[in-house]
Amino acid sequence: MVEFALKTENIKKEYQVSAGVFHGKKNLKAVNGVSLSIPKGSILGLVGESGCGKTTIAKMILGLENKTSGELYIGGKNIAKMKHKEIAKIIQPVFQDPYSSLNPRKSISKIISLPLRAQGLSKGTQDLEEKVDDIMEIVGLAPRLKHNYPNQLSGGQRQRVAVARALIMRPQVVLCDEPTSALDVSVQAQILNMLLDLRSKLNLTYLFISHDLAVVEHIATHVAVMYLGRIVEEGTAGDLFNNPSHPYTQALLASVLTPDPALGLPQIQLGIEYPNPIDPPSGCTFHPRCAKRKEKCSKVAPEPVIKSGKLVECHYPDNF
Amino acid sequence: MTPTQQQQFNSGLGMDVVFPTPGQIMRRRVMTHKGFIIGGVMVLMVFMVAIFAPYLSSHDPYHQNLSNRMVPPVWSEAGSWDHPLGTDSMGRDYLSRLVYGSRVSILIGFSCMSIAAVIGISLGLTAGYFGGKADYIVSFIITVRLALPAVLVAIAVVALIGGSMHVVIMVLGCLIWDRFAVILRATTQQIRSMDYVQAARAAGCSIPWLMIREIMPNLFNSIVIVATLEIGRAILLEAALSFLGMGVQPPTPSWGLMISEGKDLMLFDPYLVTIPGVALFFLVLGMNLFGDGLRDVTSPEGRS
Amino acid sequence: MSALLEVKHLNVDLDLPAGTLHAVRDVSFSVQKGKTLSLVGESGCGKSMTAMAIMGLLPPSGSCYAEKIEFEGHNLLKMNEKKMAAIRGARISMIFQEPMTSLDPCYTIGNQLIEALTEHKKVSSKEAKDRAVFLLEKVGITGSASRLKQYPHQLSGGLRQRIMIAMGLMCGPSLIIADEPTTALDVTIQAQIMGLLASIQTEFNMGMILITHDLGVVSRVADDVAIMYCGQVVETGNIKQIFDNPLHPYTKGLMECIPVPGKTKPGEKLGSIPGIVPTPIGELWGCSFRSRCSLAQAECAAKGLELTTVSDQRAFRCIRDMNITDTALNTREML
Repeated sequence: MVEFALKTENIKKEYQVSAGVFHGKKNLKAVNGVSLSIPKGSILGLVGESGCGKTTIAKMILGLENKTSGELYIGGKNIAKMKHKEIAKIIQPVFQDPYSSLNPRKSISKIISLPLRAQGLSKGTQDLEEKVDDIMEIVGLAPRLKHNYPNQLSGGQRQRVAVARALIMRPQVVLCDEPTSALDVSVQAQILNMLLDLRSKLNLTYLFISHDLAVVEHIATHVAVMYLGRIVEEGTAGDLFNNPSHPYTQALLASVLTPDPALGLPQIQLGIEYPNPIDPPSGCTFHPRCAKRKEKCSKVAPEPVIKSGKLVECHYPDNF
Repeated sequence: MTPTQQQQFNSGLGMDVVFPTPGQIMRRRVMTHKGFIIGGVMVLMVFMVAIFAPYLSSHDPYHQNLSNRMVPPVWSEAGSWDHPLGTDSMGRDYLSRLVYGSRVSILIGFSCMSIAAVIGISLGLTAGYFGGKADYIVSFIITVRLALPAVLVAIAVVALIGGSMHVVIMVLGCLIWDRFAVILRATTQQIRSMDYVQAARAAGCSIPWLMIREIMPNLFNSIVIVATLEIGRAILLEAALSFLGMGVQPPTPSWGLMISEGKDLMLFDPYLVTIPGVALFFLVLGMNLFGDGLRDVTSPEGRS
Repeated sequence: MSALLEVKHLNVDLDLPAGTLHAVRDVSFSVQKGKTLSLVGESGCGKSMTAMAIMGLLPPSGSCYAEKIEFEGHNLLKMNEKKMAAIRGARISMIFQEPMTSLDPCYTIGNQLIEALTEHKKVSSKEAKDRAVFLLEKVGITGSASRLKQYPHQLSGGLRQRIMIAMGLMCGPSLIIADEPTTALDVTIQAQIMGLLASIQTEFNMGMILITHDLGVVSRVADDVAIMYCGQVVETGNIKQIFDNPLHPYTKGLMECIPVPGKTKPGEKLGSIPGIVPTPIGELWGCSFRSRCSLAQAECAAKGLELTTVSDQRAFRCIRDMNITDTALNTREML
């Protein structure tokens, strides 16, 4: 029986947005039924472009937003039955922007020790300091930086502080929301190496949200592709990257520009407009941009099909 | 490499640049800002006058001497150093009244500002953090307050329950919180969307903790700037009320009252009006310069 | 054939409270008509400042001096603000990173496109509108008539960037400077926009300076590359030379940092460059990369490190000779 560190069952998040003065309110389905299962110790890469709902899912999992419907299990327990502080002990975030994820008015040591102090887990200043020193060493930060302020640190150092803050309570799951997108390439490599290292050292499970497929291919064990609030393809990293089945996944992979001077630019037939989530297309929401669409695609929404460990939501998938 | 070799190796690289802490940055800016220093000195001077009032005044400001009425200040022919700023229509020493009047202005300025700050910050913080219905309600309250003319409301209240220092402080404090609320609401909304607030919430911070220990320190700049402006506003409002007879009651020396008492004789003995007028102008100008300087000095650095 | 743009020994200094920041140091390059030069580097390397210096758009605290900045035979260094303004947008166009903030939210697309042309040339409004429609079609936007009446907030990031490109082309410039044009866009849009830029460049025979940190984009689009680090150019060459045989340790380090699907093994440690970029304030000498280079020696701190020219347009800034065979860089993580 596989133990799941994190599991969602058909979670949905809908917003009521005003569609103009005379049109009343419309339903925005940011997350439209997502079921994820992340086995303990694995890294699930959640990929998708802006507007697909991946940030909304992150907020719901962290308890920062309420879900409209569906169930969420963290560490085997239903979060509906858990207090907010309990959830915080099991799952912690690392955000994208190293500049806005640290309070500019607090010293590094105060920032890192915040979770312990907020939860009342500290046994005195001495104990706090030891724990801060300990975690700073684990993430590769010189302890002398403890008394500095965020504006004195580089982007990579700040991101390490964010990771240290996330790990000080030794959570089971770390939710990384584009943790390296705002960093330079050389720093990104440092942080990714560190994340991989920490996973084995501290027995962590990652939910790794990113739009950078090269990074996801490198770090993730499992991958889920999101489009307009739904998962359109899910499987192990190797399987998905070598044999993509959904046309959107194929387009995403073709868009990755590897450093190869012999190749020119890929010709991606996707059309130039991303659909508006307030007015999603009928049937399969991807059909207006799909090069392989047929009659059925604009009328009937496809059901997810699972075969040999892979999930695809398409009427005419390849390699499936 | 040995440490000295290492140091030699690293020289000429720009490695030894140390970025200052936020506190150091502010200190450096404070030292070079003219408006801040000038305004600060002006306010400090009035403060000193208020504190050392008994030593600076040669007479009792309440002591009337009807045989010594309307003595002009020392710079006109009939004046003397006995009463450097002359006497008023009751024979009271003007310098002493001016000096003690500074206490009234400062006391009222700071007390009103404090009450307004408590009300305004609570409302602004609540509206900015919670948004939605709370924001709707608070915005409505602010709009109502902005639609009321502060002076008229103050007059009406005083007319109902009578004027005194305490009444003036309470009434004005409950009327001038609007700028606090508006500015803090906007700033809180900005900060609310920052990732560090989300991270603190995800770490298990309770909402009071978030608001007071994570968000408030970042509001400090805005609060101090608005506070200095509101002190000036409160002082002028009190002067206006006292001028109309609706504020501090005689014989308390208030600069506004002094102007009011001298207004009938303004054309003949203008010093009765100009001296307290200049004092008011001096204090409020100083506070405003100081407030502007504060705003410049504490403006966000952005990313270095 | 003389170059479209030639920059020789450009230096840009910024006056900061902490001292003088030497943002750009001794940068030289040339751009040919119809070709793309890419300035590649990480944040703080001075690539954007270089573009700003060429356009005369430095901040008040910045000052630049160079031996030569020559565009189409004109000396840009000697131009006053009026003459530079006539060149900006008309002969040299710039496309910025953030399409969300590059367009004025108060005016329609049509307004902004037409203004881009009428600002520089005396044309009738009909002619300007026709040109706007023509260019919108060129950048792949259909239904131009209704698009002209739309406001920026009604459009997605990809569409806005296409409009920025159209705006840049209104006056028929001969040089485009694109500063991270696709960094803020989604990955599928990125490929489309780069393809659009490349095809437009070929069609109108323009020169392009592509400023980016993304080596993948560079390898697919650029002809010549200049790698920048800490304000200096550390390696130049055409893309085949740079990617097949990188000479400078920084270039090699960068290439090893990037996860490449198919080449780097998933789950394995990526090559990384330890340490952080130094801040070029104060007196500087020696190789700026020496604090992070695994091949550093005491001689690297010596004064007067020049570019070693290997062949025409191929140069690198290092005291070692070009037969560097050392491979994996130090993966020390402690800072």
